Amino acid sequence: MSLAVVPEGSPLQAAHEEPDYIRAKSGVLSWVLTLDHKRIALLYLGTVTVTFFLGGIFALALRTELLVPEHGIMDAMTYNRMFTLHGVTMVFFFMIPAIPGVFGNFFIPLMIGAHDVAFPRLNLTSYYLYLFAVCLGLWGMIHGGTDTGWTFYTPYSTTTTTAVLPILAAAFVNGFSSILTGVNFIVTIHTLRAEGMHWMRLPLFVWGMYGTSVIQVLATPVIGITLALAGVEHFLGTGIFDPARGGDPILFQHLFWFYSHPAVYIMVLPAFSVASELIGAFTRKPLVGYKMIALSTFGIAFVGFLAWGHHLFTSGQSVVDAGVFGFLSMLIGIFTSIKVFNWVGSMYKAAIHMTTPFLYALGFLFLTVFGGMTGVALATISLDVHWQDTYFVVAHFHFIMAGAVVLMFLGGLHYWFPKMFGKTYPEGWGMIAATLVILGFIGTFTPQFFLGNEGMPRRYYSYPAHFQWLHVTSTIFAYILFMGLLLTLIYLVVALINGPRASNNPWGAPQYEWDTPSPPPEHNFSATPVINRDPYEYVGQEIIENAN
Amino acid sequence: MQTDAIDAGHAPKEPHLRFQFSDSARQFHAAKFGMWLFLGQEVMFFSALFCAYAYYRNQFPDAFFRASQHLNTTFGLLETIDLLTSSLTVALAIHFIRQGKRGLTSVMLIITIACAFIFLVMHGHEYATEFHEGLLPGRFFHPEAHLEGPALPMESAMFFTCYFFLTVLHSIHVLIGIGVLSVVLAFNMRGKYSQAYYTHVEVGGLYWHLVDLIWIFLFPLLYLVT
Amino acid sequence: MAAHAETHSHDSHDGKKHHGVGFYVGIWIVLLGFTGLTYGAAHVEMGAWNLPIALAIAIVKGTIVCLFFMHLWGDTRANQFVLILSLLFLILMCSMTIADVNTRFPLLAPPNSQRFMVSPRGQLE
Repeated sequence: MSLAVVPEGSPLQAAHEEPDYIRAKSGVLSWVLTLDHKRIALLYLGTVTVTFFLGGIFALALRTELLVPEHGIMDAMTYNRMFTLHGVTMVFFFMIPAIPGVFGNFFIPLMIGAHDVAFPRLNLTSYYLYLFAVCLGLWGMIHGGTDTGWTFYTPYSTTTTTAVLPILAAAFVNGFSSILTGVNFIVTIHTLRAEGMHWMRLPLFVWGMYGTSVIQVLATPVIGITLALAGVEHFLGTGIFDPARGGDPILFQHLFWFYSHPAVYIMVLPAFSVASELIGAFTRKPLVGYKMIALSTFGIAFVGFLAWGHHLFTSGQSVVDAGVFGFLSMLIGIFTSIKVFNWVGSMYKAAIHMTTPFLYALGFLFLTVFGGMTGVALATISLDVHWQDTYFVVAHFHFIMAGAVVLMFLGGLHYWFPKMFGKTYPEGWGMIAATLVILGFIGTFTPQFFLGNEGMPRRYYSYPAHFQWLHVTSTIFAYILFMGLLLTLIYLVVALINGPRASNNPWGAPQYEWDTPSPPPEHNFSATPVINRDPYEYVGQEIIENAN
Repeated sequence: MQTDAIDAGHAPKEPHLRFQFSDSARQFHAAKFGMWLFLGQEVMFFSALFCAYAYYRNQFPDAFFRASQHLNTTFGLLETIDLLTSSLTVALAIHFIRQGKRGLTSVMLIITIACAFIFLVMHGHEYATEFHEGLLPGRFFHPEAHLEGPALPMESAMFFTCYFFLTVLHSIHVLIGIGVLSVVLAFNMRGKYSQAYYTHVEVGGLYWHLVDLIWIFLFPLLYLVT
Repeated sequence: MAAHAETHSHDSHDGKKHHGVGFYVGIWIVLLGFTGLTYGAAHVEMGAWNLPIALAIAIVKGTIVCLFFMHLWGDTRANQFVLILSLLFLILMCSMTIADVNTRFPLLAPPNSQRFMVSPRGQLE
């Protein structure tokens, strides 16, 4: 049964006769000035791959330094810059733009039956703002970068002599890219749904992107103005965060985390939504709890705004506020658990088709559950007093950021690779690389829970000798992780150039985007589709390993 | 180009209708919704500054009161009236283009832009006075000895920091608004809009109203501190 | 002066009856009235009530601008919701940060207690 119901002829037949979006137009300008959401997605993909590896190199550098308790390969000031630039690059230039910019852009119109997003020119503008932000950041890095930590806490960030201003400016511009993408996606989802695509038929990926976009629009301006305030104070000495002038550094922390806590949901909600798609595709049965998963997205989005003070537990915030924020932070666990139980329930008595994307989904579940549980533990103020600013926190957020976002970025990339490029990647190599990546993540960050619990502070260059074996273990697995990622890059590029041709639906997945050709034509459909089935309803799709 | 094949069964498309939209009404609604979302984020943009202002006014109520006395309240009142008038004229611009009266629309847009310029000139004059009197943020706060009234405490600098951040950001938005409305005016004079299609006027007007809205809150909070 | 706009076109965007010029001028006069009220109220000594009253009048003015100049009255629920949500978050941000300061334990050396200023780079001014 096809996606669309059109009186004469199938739209797929007509679509097959058109060139796909990659071959439709040629020439550098047709890519650089494209308004096609699919090409813009590929522009994002290229840039986030670069920023991901750049952030990874900073991480490897600092992990290598931490192999020895004192001076290893760099001095302390350089080490400070390494962890700062790792954080800035990964948070602002990879995790926030990656899944929305690549998969959101590519698949939201396809999934709702639209020909493009609501504002294609705004979409391209978003990409160029992001690229400009990356260039500003690179320029700052060339000038030595900064050593304030990605959190830019005052008064240090307003008095440091390092190149903090270009980095602040880069994050500011990146914010606008994020906001405009969010506006675009919300309007697209509201106004461009095809006939028959009512709200409760939307794929969960679209629901997740919708929730993400709401947070992007409402939270990102706050970080913009906060970083601008810090930058102006650095430049002009305005004193809004300077106690000597009556200012309060804790105000910076309040304003910074008012965005940055919802920001982690900007990173994680897209990952959750990709997970829903993967589990829906590889369990070969309808997803359990569609409505609960969809609506819990808004629970997470809303409560995520209420919890920022848990980053200030030991900063000098009042005990009353700390108590309120601690309680509110725990509520998020409720909505996340709803999703986890529904995913696990979907796998129960399912005919699992074990593939690389599904392996990533399993790794995701493990890391997210443990990351999430340690988050609830950290929300307990009495425990946080012990763990704040130690490696325990570092391990917690890497379990989620790396475990959820990176694994689902890779999982989504493998899952949608045939659709986006019309080629298949080698499944054997995929499984090997996924194993290396997942084990690498677990091995890198599990020792850090113990390090943190023993009292090893974060962002510290030197440490007592009895911590060394844990640091060494973490670094070894970090290298294993890196090798897995490098392997992934290699075989994906080879598959892109030389891989076997993919069928329209190699996974036999039920979702709407698999009804289009692989890769899709420039305007997605030759006639506007009419939707007549639910997104996870199997109607006899078969797994086709390779194309004819 | 596949656009001809798309929706071939429908009525002939208007020239402004983009291929991804099925009809004009939907496209208009999308544009307005997009602008409202953008206005939502502008509100959040200012909200961090309002938060900082509230935070420090709560801590230094007396210093803020004394500092506010040195702002030119008459100018503030005139600027408020000026912006409210500009809101009226831009709303009338939309009203007239809905009736297809392009000439009146242009007149209203010109008056709006003129009001915006008046606002900037008046506010610039205020800044010049404050600069002259040393009422500046942070480390530049050196209140002149000839100022009337008792000497200002150190914390009053925080008031002026908030004042300058809020009003400079607001003035930047006034400038952007002038740009937006000028483009809309230029397009209108070239005949781009009509009773059937006036999205830019509506959306540009929405942006301008936000500029007025923010000032409605800035005026009592900055000029009328008690 | 036309009392009501005519919207017979098939492509009218919302099909509703629109207000006339007089309506908008009337709203403007109401707003000017409230501005005068704000100005007047600021000169009446009401102690702690001055700020809430000033804010309340500003909120009324803002609501009038939104509902009638920005046509939010009768607009889609989505548009109305956006503004309400932003305002809710603004209130959330301000209230929790002010609550923080107001509920802290008193400092041993509060900001006003020292009469000299030290620049961030440690130099006395």
